[in-house]
Amino acid sequence: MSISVVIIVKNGGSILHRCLESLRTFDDVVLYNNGSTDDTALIAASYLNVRLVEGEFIGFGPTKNTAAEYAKYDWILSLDADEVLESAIVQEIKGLALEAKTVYTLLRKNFYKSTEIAHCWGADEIVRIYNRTTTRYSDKAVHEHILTNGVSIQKLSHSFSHYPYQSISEFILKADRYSTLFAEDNVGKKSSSPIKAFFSGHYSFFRTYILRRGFLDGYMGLIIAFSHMVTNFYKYIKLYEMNMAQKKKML
Amino acid sequence: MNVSAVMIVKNGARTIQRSLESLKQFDDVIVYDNGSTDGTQAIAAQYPNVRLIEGEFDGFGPTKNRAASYAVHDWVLIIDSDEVVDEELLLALQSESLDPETIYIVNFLAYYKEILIRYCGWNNQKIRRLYNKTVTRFNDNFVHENIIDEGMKKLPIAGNMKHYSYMSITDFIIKVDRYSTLFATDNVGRIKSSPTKAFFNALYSFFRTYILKRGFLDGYAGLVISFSHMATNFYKYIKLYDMNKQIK
Repeated sequence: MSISVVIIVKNGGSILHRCLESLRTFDDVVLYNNGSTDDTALIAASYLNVRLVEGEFIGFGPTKNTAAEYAKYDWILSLDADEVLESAIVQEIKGLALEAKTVYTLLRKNFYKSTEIAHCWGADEIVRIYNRTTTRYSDKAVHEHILTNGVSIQKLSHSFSHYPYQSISEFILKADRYSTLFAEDNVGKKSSSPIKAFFSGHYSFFRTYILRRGFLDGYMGLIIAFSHMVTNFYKYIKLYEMNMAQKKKML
Repeated sequence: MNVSAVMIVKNGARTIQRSLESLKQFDDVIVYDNGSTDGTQAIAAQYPNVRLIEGEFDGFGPTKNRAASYAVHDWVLIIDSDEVVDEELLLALQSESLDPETIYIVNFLAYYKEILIRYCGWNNQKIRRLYNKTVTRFNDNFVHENIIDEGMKKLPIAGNMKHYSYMSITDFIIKVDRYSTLFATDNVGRIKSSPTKAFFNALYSFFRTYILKRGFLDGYAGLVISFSHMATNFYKYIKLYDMNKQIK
């Protein structure tokens, strides 16, 4: 039985090359491109097994389901553009006797450049292989997952690699993006104050660096913990500012 | 007026209008654009006294010198796209007789949005901004560029430049990234760095801005500024550490 790989992408950047390179032995890779402004389409064009589909982003869950409709096979391996499969896991997937009413979980390890970040970003077990005639992604816009009601779950033994950040600048730019999203989602609904921003920021440093033992991840642990602090501070201070602006408008 | 205003700009569309409005009395304004993608050029083109030059950016010092070379007058007032010349400064530029052997120092009033920031070390900064380009020029620094003052007198000039560099919290974060990258690029292989240095430098800069410079008196804006100083310093030294490791 064969598997299609389905990836949704926006501005895949440099890591997309490594992702697609690791999928050369799959004969059907659907790359669902939602509004990239970088050379994502150009990178995709250099792989004969990759089919580029241009489409809308309608939240993570729904978009992944839409993308899966373009697959040639019913069995779907769902990946992100910043994930890379090593040959061991590829072989394991290819050797699977895919059973109906079953989904498969893969172990994902997180890396920054070539270093595994084992503490701040512990490895996670995620369902990534499913049959689209049996199940699908939940309709959630964020924190989407493959629905597992009434199906059995089987674990694969090899892991694959996730490269969420390609540079230190990306930590800063994501802090900006996440904090804006958070404030926009919560304006008028959640209260905030400069003091809350300050202490929430510091607590998240403490949680990542000490409680999750980020200090064992070396200087990357420090960068991640510090960036968590920065993100949380800006989340609550942006929310505070937006709440203030909204109050002013209502007066 | 025998002074040219010289501005280098990249993506200044949000603030440049207010800046160019304050320069309407100048007969020669150079806007040296280095690759804006936000429509800055179109705004600049609306002003008949503006000459728009499009060129490369190769560090602040060298780029400012290149921009100044286009000025009609020997006297150059350097202004950024988020700065505004106030009435008093304009009057001084129109009426004072300037000494070519002198660099003139301008007083700055800093704003976050429309809030005047009185503390945080932002208030009343004195910056060299007016010079005679036949006598001196900017040094070649990539960042922290300055007008060369060897053998020159330095005098204050009346009035103020109003500085509107931050119009949102996102602006602070974008600048954290930008300045820290510039700092690391400029110092790689020359200054040592370590994670410990990054961490304590950051903590100290929060303490300095919020407590020593009494940023707490500026309300929540003071906290944003102090926190962003801390973040800038952390990323400056950690990026430098990262880059130093790579060249080894």
